[in-house]
Amino acid sequence: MTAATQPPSLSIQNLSVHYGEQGALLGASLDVAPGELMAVVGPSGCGKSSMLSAVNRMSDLTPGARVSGRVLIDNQDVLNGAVDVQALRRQVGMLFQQPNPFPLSIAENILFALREHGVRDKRELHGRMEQALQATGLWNEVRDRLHKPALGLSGGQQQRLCFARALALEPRVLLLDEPCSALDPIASATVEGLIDSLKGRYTLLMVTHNLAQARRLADHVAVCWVRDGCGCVLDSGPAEQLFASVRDSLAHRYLNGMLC
Amino acid sequence: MLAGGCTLACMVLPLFIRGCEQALRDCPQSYRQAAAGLAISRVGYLRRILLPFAAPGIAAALVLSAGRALAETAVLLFTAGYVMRWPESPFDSGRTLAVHIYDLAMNVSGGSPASAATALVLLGFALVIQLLAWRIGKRPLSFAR
Repeated sequence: MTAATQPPSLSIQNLSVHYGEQGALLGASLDVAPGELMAVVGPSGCGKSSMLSAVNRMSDLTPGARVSGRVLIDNQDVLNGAVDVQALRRQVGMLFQQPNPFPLSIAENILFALREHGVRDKRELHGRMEQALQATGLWNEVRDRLHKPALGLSGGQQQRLCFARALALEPRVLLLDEPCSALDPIASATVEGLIDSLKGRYTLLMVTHNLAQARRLADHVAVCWVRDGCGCVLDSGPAEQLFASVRDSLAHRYLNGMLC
Repeated sequence: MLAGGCTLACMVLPLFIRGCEQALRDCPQSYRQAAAGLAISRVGYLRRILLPFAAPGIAAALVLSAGRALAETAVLLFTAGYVMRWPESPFDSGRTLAVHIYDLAMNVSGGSPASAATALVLLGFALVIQLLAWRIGKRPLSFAR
């Protein structure tokens, strides 16, 4: 799991996402420094997830989705048509709201992904699987039942297995789409601890509805909002500064739960 | 006989396709999402995730349509024929087991035992298909929750 290379910088510039005629995100810009965690918060339907899915081109899978603007990873525009999407998605891992391990065994979930990416050597396969499971703190919990169905794990364990699966491919950027929102508080705390341990080694962009979580984990925060039926980035900056901001801005009021 | 086979194939095709389609659609979207997120190739996803997941449904569709084909008689009187001899090539006329049973039972005096035996063969075929479907349809262990 030791990232061979330094985590890259991630810069989103003037990003817009449309689904057919409907705009989901308009002119969003934000910068994530290498190895930092940027939390994206905001009400439902403000284009947070659309922004995330543009970064690893998952938006390509949605029929009718149009993405414009620039997403730079280490100054390379990933929205460029010439970019190898498979290579990009290998560099940019993604975690979803619902844990989604494959209906395979625990070991096979990771080995399948590794084999798909050309790792053939048995020793290396098992080494990388163990490393990934160690990194997510799962190893001691599952070492005796690696060949049991992954769907038999608890929700929190499943989500950590998904982390392990993503980490095994040695990505440099991780996109987290509300990774804790489907978990109970205890599992959620474990996953949060895991995310915290990833900071510095990966560049992280995390969507969350949990403001307290954003405050605990994030180096920087971006607040999204719905303006004229279309999502946009209202404000972004260092987490502490934004939460403590005395400016009576909409973003400040949202972050401090003062909207009702 | 070939004509009969083709006709039957055409007749049960919609039933089979519908069943397969449903089985494939039942595969949760989240698996596809996960596979895309991990940059897993289409072939890899199809082979390791989608087909194993849909196999039971496809097997069920196979049994249903095979049963439908096995029970068919009227269409085959026209296309495959109903001659009483061993066919020499796929283009030759032949008869289905069902027609054979009917012929033995109704038109041949003392044909009842032979007719019952033929029915047994037909039953055997049905069982074999059923068994095959059961084998394909058994989900791998890892699918169990």
